[in-house]
Amino acid sequence: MTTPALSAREVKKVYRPRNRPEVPALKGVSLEVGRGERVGLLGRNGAGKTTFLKIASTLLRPTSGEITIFGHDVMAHPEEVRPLIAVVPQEGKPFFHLTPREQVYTYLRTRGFSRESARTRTEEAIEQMGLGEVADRLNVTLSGGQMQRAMVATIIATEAPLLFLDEPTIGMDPFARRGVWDSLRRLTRKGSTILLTTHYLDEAERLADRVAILQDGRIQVVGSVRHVARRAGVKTTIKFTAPQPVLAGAVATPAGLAVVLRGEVASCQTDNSGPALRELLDWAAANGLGDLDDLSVEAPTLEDSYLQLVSNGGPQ
Amino acid sequence: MSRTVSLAFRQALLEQRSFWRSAEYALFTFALPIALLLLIGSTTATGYLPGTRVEGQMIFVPSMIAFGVIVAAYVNLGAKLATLRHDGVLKRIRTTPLPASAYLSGVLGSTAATTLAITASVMAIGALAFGAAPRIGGVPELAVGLVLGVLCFGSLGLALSAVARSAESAAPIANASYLPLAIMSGIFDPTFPVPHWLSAAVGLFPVRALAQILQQSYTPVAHAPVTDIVVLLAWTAAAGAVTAWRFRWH
Repeated sequence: MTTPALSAREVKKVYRPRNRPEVPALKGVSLEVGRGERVGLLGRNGAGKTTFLKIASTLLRPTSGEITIFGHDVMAHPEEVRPLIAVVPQEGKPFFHLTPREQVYTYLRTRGFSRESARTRTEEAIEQMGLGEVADRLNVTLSGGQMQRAMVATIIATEAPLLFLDEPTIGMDPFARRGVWDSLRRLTRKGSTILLTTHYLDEAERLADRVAILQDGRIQVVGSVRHVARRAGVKTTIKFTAPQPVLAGAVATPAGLAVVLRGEVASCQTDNSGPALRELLDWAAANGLGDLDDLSVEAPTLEDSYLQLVSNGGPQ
Repeated sequence: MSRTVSLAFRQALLEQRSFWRSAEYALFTFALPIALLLLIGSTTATGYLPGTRVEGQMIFVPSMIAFGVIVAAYVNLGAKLATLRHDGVLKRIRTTPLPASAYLSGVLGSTAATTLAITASVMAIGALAFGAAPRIGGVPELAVGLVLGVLCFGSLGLALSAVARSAESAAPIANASYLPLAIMSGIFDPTFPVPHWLSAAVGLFPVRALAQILQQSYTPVAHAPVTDIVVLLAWTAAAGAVTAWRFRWH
């Protein structure tokens, strides 16, 4: 069995501010991220996502627990871990008096890339992040979204084995976000592993192979979006336009499905859409209602599941 | 080891590039000691100091060199690192394979380069405007003063950035800590009257110690340079200890 990219066992972190009560930020986080995976870490503000990323990226010592990166102990041997990781910190600012091109290049040189290789990678990253037009302007003159793109370009250019991205697309326009997603997918195809936090659930849904929901200092659920939806108990919604006889009360809705009428729209929720659809269509045929107009099946989104889990999962 | 040195050197070059590109920052870093040199120098620091055969400008010009070292190495470095920490730049650097020692040496190296440039400007203007130049035999004192001054105040700048809780507080802390000492140490006016006990207390701090070593390089005055050197070294060690203990990257 190959060593996972990241393995955390019962990681706890208690902040002890002076003159204030201590804050248990992480109460025992266990998480394994396999090589080449893209994992999204979700949770409300203050859930502990950034604390976890700081610990994993050698910035912060946990109060207890164990965490390894490709088998290297983060606490005992941070110097072995650092060459294997690259981090986009939350709201990190670029070096204001460098240009994006210079920033990516010098960062790569700092990490030990040769001049030649740093130059090639810099140009690739600049292009992937769509920074071509501003690549030679000082960072201080860039917009917030452009600065953030410069930060992401700096990190993806490293193609480090494990990338941590803390809210990487914050402040970006939809085109830039898609550019980041494409680049991250490309990186995992080349073998990198990615752990990112985000508040954009569509981002997690489209990008992450698995999501982990962190709440109240613990991981509440981890798995594919479908798995998370099942755990959250969010049902699939079936909708159709109610035929006239149903609206008039002449035909009763099928007994086995709790159909709700809202205006013209009839909807019902189910755990298992196959049998429900069959029952619905049989009922329509038996009552001479023909094909049901505007029939649609809406699978639960990550957002539905997330809201369900986070609102039921304990005190806010 | 040699790799750390080359990384530190590269970092210093990078810092210098950033410094000079920030025209406003660079300009005012130079402007402060030079403006004070010209303003105060043209009004008070000429003629013999009362009761001595020492010309005022031979004390005042090296005092302004000391002032430039303190502003560049202590105030600006401390505030800059506190801001970089606030902006998340330090934590990004910390998660790279760049060793902490290489980064911090690079930053100190760049500070030393800036300080030397300020020193050269102050010396040149001091010579042209006030006819004050170092003694030929004063070169060792000048070299020792600059090296120890940058080390001591640069370490204090690192310690300041480690102690300041926020980016905003670093500059006020720096100003509140060095300005009163600079005034009491006679940096701006060598004849400033200070009670004996206060003078003895001020002598324990590095501001007057650095000024006196540099003054020695301009005109032989009755000081005990060894004491001044010990004071600077002691503060360097203390600042280094505070930095090692408290410096945070995020």
